[in-house]
Formats: sequence, C-alpha cells, structure tokens
Amino acid sequence: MLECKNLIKTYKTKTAVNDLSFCVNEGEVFALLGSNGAGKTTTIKIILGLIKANSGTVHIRDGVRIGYSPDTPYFPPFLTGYETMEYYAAVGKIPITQRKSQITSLLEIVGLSADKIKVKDYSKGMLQRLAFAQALLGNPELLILDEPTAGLDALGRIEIIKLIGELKESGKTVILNSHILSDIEQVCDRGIIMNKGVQLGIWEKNADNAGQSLQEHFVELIGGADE
Amino acid sequence: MIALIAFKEKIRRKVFFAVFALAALITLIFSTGAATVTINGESVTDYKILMPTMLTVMNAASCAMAVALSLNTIPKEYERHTNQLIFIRGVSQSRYRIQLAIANITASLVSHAIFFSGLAVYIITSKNPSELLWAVPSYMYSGIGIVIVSLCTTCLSIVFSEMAAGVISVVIMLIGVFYPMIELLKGIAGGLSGKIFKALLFVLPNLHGIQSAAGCLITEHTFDLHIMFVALFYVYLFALGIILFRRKED
Repeated sequence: MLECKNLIKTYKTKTAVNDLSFCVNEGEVFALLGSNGAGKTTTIKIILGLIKANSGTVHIRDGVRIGYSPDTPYFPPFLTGYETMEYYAAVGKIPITQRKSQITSLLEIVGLSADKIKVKDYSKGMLQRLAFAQALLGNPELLILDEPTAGLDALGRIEIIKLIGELKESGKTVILNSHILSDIEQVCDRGIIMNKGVQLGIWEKNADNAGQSLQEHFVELIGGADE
Repeated sequence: MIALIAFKEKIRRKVFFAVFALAALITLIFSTGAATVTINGESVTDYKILMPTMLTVMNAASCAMAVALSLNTIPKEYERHTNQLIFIRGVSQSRYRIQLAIANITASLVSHAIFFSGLAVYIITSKNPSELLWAVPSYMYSGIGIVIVSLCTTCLSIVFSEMAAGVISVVIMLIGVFYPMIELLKGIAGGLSGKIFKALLFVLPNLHGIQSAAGCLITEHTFDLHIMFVALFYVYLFALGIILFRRKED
C-alpha cells in the first residue's frame, strides 16, 4: 500500500530522517517506534506531503484515501464535536447527503455523542477521540495516527488501542507512531525502530525476534546505537 | 467554510471587545462636545472641522485593529498544526491562505463598521442627519484602506515571525496614516534620509489620502476616483502576495 525509499530530511544542521526505507502492506498495523526526536513525526509529515524530503521517494498506491490524527489535536474551541466533524467533512468535500449519517456513526464509534458540549470543555481523551473520528471521515483506506495515546490515562489508552484493533479487523491499514511499547506490542503487526533519524531494525509480532520481547529488542537496539 | 470558522474565532477574541469600548469612548468624546479643536487660541466646535477629525481618529483606530486582528491568524494555524488537517484534505496552501485572509478582512471590516457606527451617532447628534446616507459610501471607501492594512499584515505574517510582522505592519500603518507628515519630513530632510522618505512614500500606501477622500464624501459629497484606483492597486498587490508567499511547515 505504501513504500518509502531512502528518505532523507535535514533541517539546517540536524538530520531528522536519515536513509529511511520501509513498506506497509494492506490491512496491517505498522509501527514507527522510537524515543522522542527519533524522526517519527517527520516521517509522517513526509508521507502526508506536508514537508518535502531532501531525497528519497514515497509511493502510495493510486487512489488511496488517507486519514490523519495529529499528536496534539487542536479544534476550534467554540464548536461542538459534531460541528467540528461537519467542518472537516465540508473541507474534505464529503457530499452533504452523506455527512449527517457518517458523522453520527463515527462519533458513536469513538464513543462521543453528538451533544452540545463544546470542544473547549473536552478532556484530553475526548479530544484524541475526536481527532480519531475526523481521521475516519471519508472512509480512508490508510490511517496515520501520530501518538494517539499520548497524554491519556490508562482507561483512555485502552479505549484507543481497542479502537485501532477494531479498525484493523475492518481491513484498514494503519501507521501508528508511538513510543509506548506496550501499545505497539498489543496492536501492531510490524514496525521499524528508529533512533535519531536512523532505522535501527525491524520488529515483527509473530516473528521469532530471537526470543526477545519488544521491550528487550528496543532497549538492545537503542542502547547499542547510543554507545 | 475555512474563512467562516476563522472569522468566528476572531470575533470571539478579547481584542474585539476593545473595539466596542474604544468606539463608544470616541463617540462619547465627540458627541458630548468634550473634544475641541483649537485654532489661534479659539475653540472650534464646527461640525465641518470636527467630523473629519473624528473620521481620522476612527480610521487610525480601525487600522490598528486591522493589524491586531490580522497578525496572528496564519502563524497560529501553523503553530497549532490545524493547517495539517486542511492540507491532507486536498486544500492547496494558497487557497487556505486566501480563506484566512478573507477571515482577517471580514473581521477588520466588522471592527471598522463598529467604529463607523460611532461616526453615524455623531452625525445624528450634531443635527446633520441628511449626511447619514453619505456615511455608507464613505464607510465603503475608507474600508479599502482597512483591507490594505489587513492584507499587508496577513502577507507579512506569512513571511516573518509574529513579532517582526507586527512591528513592520505598525510602521507601514503609521506612515500611511501620517502620510502628509512624512511628505513634510521628506521636504525638510536632505541627503540619504530625504531619499529614504521619498522611497517610503513611493512604495507605501497613502492611508491618509484614502481616509481624506472618504471624509470628503460626507462633507463635500465628492468622489476621488484616482485615490480609489491607487488603493485598489495596493489591494491587488497584497492579494497577490497572499497567493505567492509561502510559509514552511516546521
């Protein structure tokens, strides 16, 4: 579904992404793993076309619709969740006839009701769920989720992870950017481990991984890279 | 839709309440006779003199509000990453900037209308209601100046940081509002400073001229076509800047 080849992105003197290559298959949940400053968000921005790589290519299968949930979602505070969804539906040119049913069902999926609560009164968890819902507008085949569980409490995290699992079951392809290893281990099929813009290794859920858990594998790679 | 949401956010800002307070204050000062113009030691309360003075004050306040309202729209969108959710939905950067510029212009014109309503109150209280009708085209004419300030600030906020854009916008606005004074300085100053003043006057919009022409619409019922076309040319130039200038994603 998506292939990145030899991506390089530099900011003045800092190399944010250095020769990154990976592919994401249809229907899988793919993880971009790494600590803060690993280059995960930069990679996502390149995939989304928000920034240009200095070199390398991103190939996305023709006609694939993409949904995106940012790491720190911000929505106009004076709108309700429903109105926010309506806004993004209008920007995304979703036909008016489909909007109401789609928005209502998406809000229901993420556990938000179409009530009169303004976004300014939303909790962090509710904001993340709304970000999730707007990403699902237009029924995208590829979902890119940037730190969807960041800042959430245990219950909120469980809910989001459960949601990602449900999306996978419904056949969506998901790219999940996170540094929370337990979340990744729970929901992802494969992923790459990054540190300071460099791809250190690949992790696969059902592979042998030399008998190591993801945490052990991650610590070994990151520790080895930092030495 | 983007412009509408950005506009709604603008009119909810606290700075908008300052518009109401300031407009009420200026109206109160002029309508109650608290404001006087002194010529040769004699107090002048004549409508024909006070009305353009009030128009000047109102316009200067409107220009300042246009800068305040237009300054942080685009930087804030990038800072909050709200632009990302728009761009991934296939909206081009230039279309997005145009929509935000429209929101800035609309908010600035609404603020200008609030100030102008104070002028309308003054026209009524000074017993010249027949001139009230001329206040409408005068508002539209002077509105071109407000559009210029708003577009110019928006343009600068694409290229520069919020602080730098604010400073440059205020300088441009002040030169525009006090255009005759700069012309005077140009005449007095020689050498390099004289050339700088000359260049500034050549490049920057004559906001004072627009406001004077708008005032003449009310007091003399005359319409200055030349100033209007020059002002519209500035609108065109800055609108072009909105399309051409780009802001890089962090």
